[in-house]
Amino acid sequence: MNARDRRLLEGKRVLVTGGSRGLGSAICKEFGSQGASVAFNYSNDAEGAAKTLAAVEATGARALAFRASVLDEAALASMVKDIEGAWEGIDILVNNAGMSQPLPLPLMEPSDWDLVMDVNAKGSFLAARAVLRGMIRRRGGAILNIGSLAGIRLIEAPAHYAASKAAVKGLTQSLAKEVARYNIRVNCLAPGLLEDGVGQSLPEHRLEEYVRHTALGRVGTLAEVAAFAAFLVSARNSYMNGETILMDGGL
Amino acid sequence: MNPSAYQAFARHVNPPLARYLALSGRDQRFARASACEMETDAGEVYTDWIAGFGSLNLGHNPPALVEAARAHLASGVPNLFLECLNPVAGLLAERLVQAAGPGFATAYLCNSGTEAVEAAVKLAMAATGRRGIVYCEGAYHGTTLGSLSMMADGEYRAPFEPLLPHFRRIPFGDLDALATALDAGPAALVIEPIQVEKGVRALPGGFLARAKALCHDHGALLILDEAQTGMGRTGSLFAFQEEGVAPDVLVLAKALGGGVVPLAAMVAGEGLFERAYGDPLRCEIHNSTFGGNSLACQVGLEALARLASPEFLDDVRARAAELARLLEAQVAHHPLVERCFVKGFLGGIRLREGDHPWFTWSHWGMDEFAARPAMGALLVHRLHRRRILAQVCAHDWSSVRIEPPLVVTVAQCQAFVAALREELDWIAGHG
Ligand SMILES: NC(=O)c1ccc[n+]([C@@H]2O[C@H](COP(=O)([O-])OP(=O)(O)OC[C@H]3O[C@@H](n4cnc5c(N)ncnc54)[C@H](OP(=O)(O)O)[C@@H]3O)[C@@H](O)[C@H]2O)c1
Ligand SMILES: Cc1ncc(COP(=O)(O)O)c(C=O)c1O
Repeated sequence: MNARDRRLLEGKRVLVTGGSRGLGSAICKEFGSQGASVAFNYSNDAEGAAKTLAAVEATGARALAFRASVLDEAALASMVKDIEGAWEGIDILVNNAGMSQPLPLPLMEPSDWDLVMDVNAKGSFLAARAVLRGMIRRRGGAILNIGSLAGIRLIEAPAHYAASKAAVKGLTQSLAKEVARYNIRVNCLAPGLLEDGVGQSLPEHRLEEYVRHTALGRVGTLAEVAAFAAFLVSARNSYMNGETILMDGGL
Repeated sequence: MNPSAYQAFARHVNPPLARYLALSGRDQRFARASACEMETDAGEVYTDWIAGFGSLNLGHNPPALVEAARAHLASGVPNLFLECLNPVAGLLAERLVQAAGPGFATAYLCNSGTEAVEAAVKLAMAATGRRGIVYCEGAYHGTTLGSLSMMADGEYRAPFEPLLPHFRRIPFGDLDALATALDAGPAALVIEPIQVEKGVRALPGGFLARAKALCHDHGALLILDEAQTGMGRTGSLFAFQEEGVAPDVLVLAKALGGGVVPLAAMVAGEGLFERAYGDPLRCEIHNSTFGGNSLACQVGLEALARLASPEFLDDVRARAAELARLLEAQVAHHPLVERCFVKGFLGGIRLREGDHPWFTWSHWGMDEFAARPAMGALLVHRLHRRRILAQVCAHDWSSVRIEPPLVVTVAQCQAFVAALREELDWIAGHG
């Protein structure tokens, strides 16, 4: 087997947040088939989590699932402890857990703002902090934050969601600078509209509008985003740091 | 207080300190204080566990002292009695001599601890006709050149070397080293009963008695610097009283002025002032214009009366015993704690250095401190975020001092120890 054929994430230990469905689930499966041991968390969807777990195991990879909100510091800490106990470390974190609500400004309550900002931005900070403690001690790792086109370009997206994803971009830059000295890279992958997941709450005409404006003329698939995510956190991508990469079919 | 006044401090008083305070989130704009609390202009209340490094024994702005100052200023009594009999200084000196106990006779009044230390050193030289001083490793006696000549090694001292000749350093509490150093014929041993700045470490029991005997055998004086330990801090008016051994010269400062006025004193044993300065040509060669000003002395009289009262000291000891019990139960045996010492309301917690790279000065972007321990500062930072003002020791950044106003309540002690415990747990869980 030559280097090109070797699996991208052979032997890597990964934590993906929000793995019970959507993009997170796709990332878990892709990473498993690329040779990684895959742990993931979710906060509600036990059924989806069981499916992801089975699908990762079907790739032949080790898998662990945890019911733990990214906003629950104690639960995050105990999850990280369990994973590190089982696998002796975590090499890669994907901050994928996220949410949105299709709310125009006049209908957006401060509590809505707080919830979306918390899950998307604060959750990424808390998960990163929980995992970095070990990564820094072992002096190596990679973090991939899932951002969004909505945090970078002017598109129609709820204000709190766009703000939270812009925050994730900023978090990526700051963390990349702070932990680079420990051989840890931090990047952000910002998809455009995908076939499934948070974008599904868009009204039909918005979806059409998006597809019309995208050079490729279609929405993205979860699998193609997951495949690129695997490359971004792999050792092949060794010099990219602090970057936010758009993946939107050419808008 | 006008916000620009705080900026003026940053610009015109100590710009690097202001930068460090801003960087470490400690640039609150305090505007009011009373007892153990300081309040910012935004109304946030902090509990003060630094207490002016042992100056605020009666708390911030003690009403009786503020009132004494106000009444004195309104009384028309001269503030400066230069070249005159000064009755207010007279009364304060009399009370100090009485409080210090048998064998003491005079008190030289001045404005700061280091001045009182310098006065003691000069008195010893003039009285004995000798040169040279023996002092201790880890010492802190002040930052003027004489006191500085007795400073522990480090940044306080290094830029000013060489300092005074014939100042010999011995390990703290080492009688053999003392005996050897005394063979050179110095004027005095200068020592603190508890070295606060070196992690709050106390002299071994019995040391003072033997050191005094050794000094006297060698014709040298014993000078005890109680600038920080005195005035009730350790549960007695003076720490030496617990040992039952009086020095030849006692240095007092800080809380003597009640935290309201700058006031310090060098209280000297029978005959020493006469031997040093006992003729009209020499009786004023050591002086300071504002030393003994009547305002400071009047406030000092009030402070001394309160701090020396047996009921007050009983109450201090009772509350301090509760603090000690809480520390023993919740902090002393924590895995991060190397040592926990407390005597009265003077203590220190020495922390083990962690090994996580993100709890280091260089991770925090302060590479200039990289050679220093970081855990003490981390604990201080965590406490500060809980609105508890604390600080490490000047010569030992691993040690966080425990130094509240002596009027601290049991409830405040409970809150402090609970916060300490939680923050130690947090640090242990995150590093
Ligand atoms: N789909 C798109 O078009 C699109 C486009 C750009 C960016 N993204 C980003 O891609 C990421 C994944 O979204 P998705 O489209 O796959 O959405 P999704 O199908 O709704 O999945 C979200 C996942 O996050 C988990 N989650 C939500 N809140 C959580 C919490 N507090 N703690 C732990 N897990 C939590 C959910 O699990 P539980 O429900 O079990 O908690 C679920 O597994 C998000 O960051 C999203 O912003 C998606
Ligand atoms: C034991 C001791 N001596 C002397 C001094 C110097 O006092 P001042 O700062 O008033 O000059 C201090 C101050 O911290 C001290 O702790």
